Amino acid sequence: MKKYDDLNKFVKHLSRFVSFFVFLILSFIVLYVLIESVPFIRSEFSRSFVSLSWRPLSTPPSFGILPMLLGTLYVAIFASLIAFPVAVGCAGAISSCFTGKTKHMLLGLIDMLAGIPSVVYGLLGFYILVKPLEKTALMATGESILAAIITLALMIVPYMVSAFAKAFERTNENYQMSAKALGVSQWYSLTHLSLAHCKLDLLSGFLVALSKALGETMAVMMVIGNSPLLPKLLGKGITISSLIALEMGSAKLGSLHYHALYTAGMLLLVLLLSINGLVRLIERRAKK
Amino acid sequence: MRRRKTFAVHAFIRVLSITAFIAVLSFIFTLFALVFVKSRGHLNIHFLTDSPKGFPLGSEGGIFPAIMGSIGFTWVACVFSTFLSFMTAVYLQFYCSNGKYKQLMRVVIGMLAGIPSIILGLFGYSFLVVRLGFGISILSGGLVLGLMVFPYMTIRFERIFTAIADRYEAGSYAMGVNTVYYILHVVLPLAWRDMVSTMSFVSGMAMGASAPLLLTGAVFYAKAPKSLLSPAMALPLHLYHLLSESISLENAFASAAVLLLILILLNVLTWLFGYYGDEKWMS
Repeated sequence: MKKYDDLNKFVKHLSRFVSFFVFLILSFIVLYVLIESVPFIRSEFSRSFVSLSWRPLSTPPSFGILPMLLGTLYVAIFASLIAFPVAVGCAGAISSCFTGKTKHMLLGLIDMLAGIPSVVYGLLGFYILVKPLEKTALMATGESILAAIITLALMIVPYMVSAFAKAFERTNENYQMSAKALGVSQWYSLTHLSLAHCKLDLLSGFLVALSKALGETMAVMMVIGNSPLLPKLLGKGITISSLIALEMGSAKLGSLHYHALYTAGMLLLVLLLSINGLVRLIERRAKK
Repeated sequence: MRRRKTFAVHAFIRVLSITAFIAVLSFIFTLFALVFVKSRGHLNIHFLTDSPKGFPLGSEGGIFPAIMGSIGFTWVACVFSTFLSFMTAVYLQFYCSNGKYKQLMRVVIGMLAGIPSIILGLFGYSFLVVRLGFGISILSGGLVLGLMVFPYMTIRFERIFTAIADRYEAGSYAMGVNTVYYILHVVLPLAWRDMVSTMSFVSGMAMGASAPLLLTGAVFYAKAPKSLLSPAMALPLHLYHLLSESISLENAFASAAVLLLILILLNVLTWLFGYYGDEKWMS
């Protein structure tokens, strides 16, 4: 057994090292983004960050992030608000109408929907929203905040459904016996038991989907039009992530433009990590 | 009065549920039907085995280099993240006895899952591509994708190990074997199917991700990749270029159909091999 003792020690130390390495990677990424945005924050143009004009290449340059920030929030919040009732309904229907194999299969289907690449959603949004919107007289081009909101809502519904279905399932496991013994129908127990009992789970599922929506790049980028204007429902807009995706490749390394893009990234990162922390708090609360 | 209100809420939720359920199902159906119908004439064997051709490039020909490139990226991501995740999950499940450290790692994994993929791409671009000099390559893109899927993989591995530990751990230790013997001779023979299932799930994720590759690994046109350090095309980004530069809507749909087919294949694999990971739903 000597062989196994040595191996045991080796695996123990190796795995401990690797798990610590993961911790280092995370801190390194966050620190790296912070450090790369410092030169911009200390430069003379950092004041222009809270303004409306994004003209990184003119002289003097101006790096107003507000259109992107507002665009990101506008699109993500509205998309989550649209997706929420649909997801609650769908999860409720799955958890109360189906049992056993059928339920398992439906949830598998939903998970598969969540796995569909975002470019496919973008393509779909382009084809079924942007093209028809172009033909209406409402706007000049079909690419708009509206198209982005609907595309994004379609995209995050499956995440919400699978989170909610899991919450409903847990409630069912705990209370279904008693509910059935009292002669309560499935639908009644959905409205007055599951929904009431899972309020915190619903909130945390909503926030997780919101953070997915805030960070989403491709699908939004393909339908939003990408011009740094203040967001209006029928106008073009831009989000922070699509700004980074579009301009990073052409920004000169080490230039102010490059560091400003890093600062925009940091803003997004801080936003998402704080939502993440909030979700953690809510989940801890829900467990109690 | 109260009773009527209760009934109204009840009826509202019921109607909402049924409508939403039908809407989601019909959306799934529409999505697949639309993509496959629109790509019907274009999806053939030549599309899969030819390089992009025509002017502008991509308006004719096929997507062979993009498929090979995507496989390359996914392979690197899978190897990198499997190693990290397996080791982390093994440490947390079998060796770590410090509750605080476990808690900390949970938070770290959660935070990694919360970082948007475009930020990972940004980091990969500045650090891997420029600072470390890997260049725009399969390696940089794959590493970034690996970081992206790592949290999902670790969480699944841990769940599998926990499910197995619930049944066999006490018995194994009672027989007096040490941890690594238990891992090698009890856990792995039971868990390998689920680990393969997790890998194919994660591959599906990596295959479809495009934002991290935009800055780190994918280019507009390249031949099928020869080495880890060569740049490559990626299927989702090829689709994006076809659409955003209005090169060819038909070929974009055909590429989407190929992506969906690969995804369905990987999903079937996930489902075929999965057992312990989603046992809960079976009961």
